[in-house]
Amino acid sequence: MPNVIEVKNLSYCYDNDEKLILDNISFHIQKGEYVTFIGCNGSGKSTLMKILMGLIEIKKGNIYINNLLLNERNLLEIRKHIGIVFQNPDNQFIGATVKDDIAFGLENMCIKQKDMDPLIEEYAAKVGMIEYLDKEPSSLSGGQKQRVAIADALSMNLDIILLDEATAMLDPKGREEIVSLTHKMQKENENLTILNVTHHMEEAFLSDRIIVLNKGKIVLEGKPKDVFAKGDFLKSIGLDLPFSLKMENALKEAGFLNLLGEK
Amino acid sequence: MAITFENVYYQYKNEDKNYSLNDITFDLEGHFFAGVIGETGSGKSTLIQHINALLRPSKGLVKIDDFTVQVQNKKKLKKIKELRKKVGVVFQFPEYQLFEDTVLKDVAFGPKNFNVSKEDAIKKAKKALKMVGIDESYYEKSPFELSGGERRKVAIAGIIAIEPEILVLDEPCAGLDPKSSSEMMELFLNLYNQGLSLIMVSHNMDIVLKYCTKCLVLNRGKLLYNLKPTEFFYNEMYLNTAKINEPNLLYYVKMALKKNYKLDVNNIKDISSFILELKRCKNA
Repeated sequence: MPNVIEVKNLSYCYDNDEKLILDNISFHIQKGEYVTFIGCNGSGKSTLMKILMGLIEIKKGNIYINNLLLNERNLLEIRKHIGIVFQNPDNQFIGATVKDDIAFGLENMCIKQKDMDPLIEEYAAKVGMIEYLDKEPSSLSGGQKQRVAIADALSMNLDIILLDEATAMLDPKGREEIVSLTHKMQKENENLTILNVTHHMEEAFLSDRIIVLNKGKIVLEGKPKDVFAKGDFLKSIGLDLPFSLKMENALKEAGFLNLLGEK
Repeated sequence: MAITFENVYYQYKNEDKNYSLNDITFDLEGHFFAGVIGETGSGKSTLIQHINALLRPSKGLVKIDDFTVQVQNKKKLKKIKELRKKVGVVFQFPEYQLFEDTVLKDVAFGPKNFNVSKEDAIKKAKKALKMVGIDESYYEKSPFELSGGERRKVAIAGIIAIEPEILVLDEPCAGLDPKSSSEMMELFLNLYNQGLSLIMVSHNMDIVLKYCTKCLVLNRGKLLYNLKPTEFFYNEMYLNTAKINEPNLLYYVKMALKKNYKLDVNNIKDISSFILELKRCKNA
């Protein structure tokens, strides 16, 4: 599979600050991958997402998105491929209704009015919001608003979606909705790449690959089971294991092997 | 400390039929760490805002010790400042409310509002910062230079510095990394052990089971249960009725019960107490 994102020697610091938020990081993301970034508060995850979106200008390093160098000249072209869902569901709902919100993205892509309705319905259905087209944001739950944000991204034919703690403000049900929706989308569309940032280790456990950031550096990456095999290291940088693994380790240590591994 | 709700109804203005709180009656007495749980929209945040009279009931009354919050009317509540000194509320994402140019000033702002001299306010602020684990090197920093978890701690210190008798917390761990999150819970446990009573809204059932001494279970504005967490969570019928996802811990407890471990579930609140209980059964 080709790489959709290539990051080479990226460093970043905020103005007038010597502290590097991102410190010489390099990684690739393959087309169709579901990659989760974990790291404690302040490790640079969100900054990285904003940089990939072209919301913050970089000073050192190169980023290629679909083989295009991320710079001001290519930004408009790149934005046709990449979209982001932020943490706060209320900060990204623009339309007066669900329908308007999805239409906003389509208008920006110069889709003709008459072609719009079937598209809106198609994408609302994909995220399970077809029955809510005429609802106002105030009558929607956080999870439903985030689903609309994902429909916006899909309707614009984006092939890379960044989830920047998109589930952090949701209740367990809302989180489950978004997590299972994004995995379903990725399975249905082999060209769709998803980058997820989360503090929920259970969520990270479900991805194809995990990249661990600490103090602006990539300190570990690999398949979830390999990353979570390093529990002590993860704890030392403010992270943790998913509950099921913590429990399994405790049961193993205490010798209750008969209670293991039916999940 | 005693909190009493007597047949409390609450209606947001534009709604005609739906009560956000629908005939809520309960008592919390003595020293407690209560969890308030329920689906989104069940009335959790509406309920806690009644405890310091940010909201006043549409019907019924709320008593906090000898202070009574009555039905909304034009009459201003008397002694409301005393109530707000007694009940400290930490809202969701409280770090968004930081505004002073240094950490120490921000935390001292609370007590200064309650007629404490500047000197004493600074003393109280330092004490509160110590309690939340923010050391002296942070005093003169801008709150905006800090990481998310640190800012959250500073915001909570701002409420602790007022020295409330009861601390009300709305989702205090949302958005925090695992380490900050468990540090935060240990801090609350510590405050509880020092005599403070706490009420916490949470969506994390494992946290409620582990830390709380009581849980108030809401569903569509009604209070379904006011029980010890172990009494609630180990009763499948209660969980289903309240549409609450079970704590992760339960899967393993149920498996052990199926395998004939004679567990006393009242003793099981987290992984380590579960292991202890398993060992006790094995040796019995």
